[in-house]
Amino acid sequence: MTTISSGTLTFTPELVTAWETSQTSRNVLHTIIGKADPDVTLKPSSTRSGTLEMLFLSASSANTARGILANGTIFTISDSETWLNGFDFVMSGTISTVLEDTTRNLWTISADYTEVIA
Amino acid sequence: MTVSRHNIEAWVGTQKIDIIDAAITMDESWSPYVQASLTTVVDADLIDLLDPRTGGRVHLYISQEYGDSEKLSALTAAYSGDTIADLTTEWTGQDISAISATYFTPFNPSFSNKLSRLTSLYGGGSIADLTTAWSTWYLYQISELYFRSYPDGIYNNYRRGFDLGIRSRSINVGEGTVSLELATDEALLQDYALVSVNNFSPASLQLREVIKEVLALIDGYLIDGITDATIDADAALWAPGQQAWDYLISLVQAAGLRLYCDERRRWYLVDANFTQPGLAELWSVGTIKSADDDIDRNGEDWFDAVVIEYSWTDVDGATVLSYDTAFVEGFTKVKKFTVESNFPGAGAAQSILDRAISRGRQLNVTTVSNYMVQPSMACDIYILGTPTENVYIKAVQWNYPSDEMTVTTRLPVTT
Repeated sequence: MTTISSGTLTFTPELVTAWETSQTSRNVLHTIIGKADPDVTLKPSSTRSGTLEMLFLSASSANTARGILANGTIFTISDSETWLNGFDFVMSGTISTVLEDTTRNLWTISADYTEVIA
Repeated sequence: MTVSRHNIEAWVGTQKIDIIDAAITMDESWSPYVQASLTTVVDADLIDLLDPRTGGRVHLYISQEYGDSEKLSALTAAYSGDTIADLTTEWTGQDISAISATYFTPFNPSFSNKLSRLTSLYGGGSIADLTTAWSTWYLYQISELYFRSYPDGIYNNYRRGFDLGIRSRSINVGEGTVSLELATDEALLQDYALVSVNNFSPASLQLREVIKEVLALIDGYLIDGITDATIDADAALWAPGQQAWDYLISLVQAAGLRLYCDERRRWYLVDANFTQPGLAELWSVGTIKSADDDIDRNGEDWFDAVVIEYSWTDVDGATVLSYDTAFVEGFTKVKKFTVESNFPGAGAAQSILDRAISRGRQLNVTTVSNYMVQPSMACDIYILGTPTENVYIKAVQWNYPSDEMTVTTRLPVTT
């Protein structure tokens, strides 16, 4: 079971249906006019960011979750099964709420997040 | 390929500021000599320390590292259970730098070109041709030419520190960022003016002494030197309300000298053709990303005749105008300056002209940042297909996070 908490507010999606994460390297590659290979200046890569997709069984539970995610705060994932336990993140893109097409009953929330070191 | 790591740190007091981007410019033709702009993150604990009205200052440190060093814990791990005396025995006869070098992992190896490089350059030529081409050279010079002394050790790591006053602070509430404009202490002299109902007469007519007396008002300190001049007693009068910088600079320029405050708050009085020791070498096969060569009649930097108008209100309330001029024979572009000061004697026009002539042709070279470079330093620029340039650095701007710098050059100043 996965729980997402902001410390004071918590919600539990029925299922985390998709989790995708990526990190951007911030190394700078310098093109030198007289050389084929670039000079490199090293920088730490960005923290992880991506999209978290969650399934909810009712409109009200989906809306509660959406409202909590829309708060400007830091969230922590508690997860008993995957290595995501303790993952801290903030919202960084869009939070989209979609009504599932076939059943007209299930709701999916996709939230763009960026990891923070809390 | 050269790999390095660039860091920038900003501190206000004992607190560190997180930097989003920064541009730091050192320009010998500017006053203030160093100017920087920073974008940082709003931090409620720090914001009051960044108040330009209360003399807030920011310490900046920029550095380039060519490798990773281990922490002291590496020694603890390697010699666990041993005493420091044991360590000393182990490293008998070695300098501490040898230990540092051992525990340092460079990003780049240094290397020399192979002989095939010569073959490719002089393909088809005989060794005799080579000898002719380098008839005046020694072998070691040729070796050096083909040696890429890539920075490969701790000795090449370089760090430069700045102590700058905050000139402006602008908070972007929506973005949550703070923009800071920083400058060296010439700005404090430009803020300061004489508040008195009488003219001020300095205790001495030696220029260095006058400068020290005025700098004391802003807690500035002139570094000892031998460059000095004797000034005219009339010109040494500082009028109420006259800017301290205007007052000093008219005396300094009339003597053909230059006054500036460096990035560590040290004031210098130097000759117009002053140069910094050292040589910056920039190669198109080294770190140069782009270069352009500019000659511009429309710009402000170059002119070949100067008129300075000194405007002064005398004790009767009448405006006294005096002029100082300098020009190159057959001049074609004239620049006029107006200075609110008593006539300090002729000379300023000539020294301004000398420096303007040296800025007639400017090379702007953008390279990977190097923090050893500074204005007034000799600079050799090697770009394949163009003649080698032996010039001087007028200005350098370091940019972060792009880790690149732009060097603007000038010709030597001939006086």
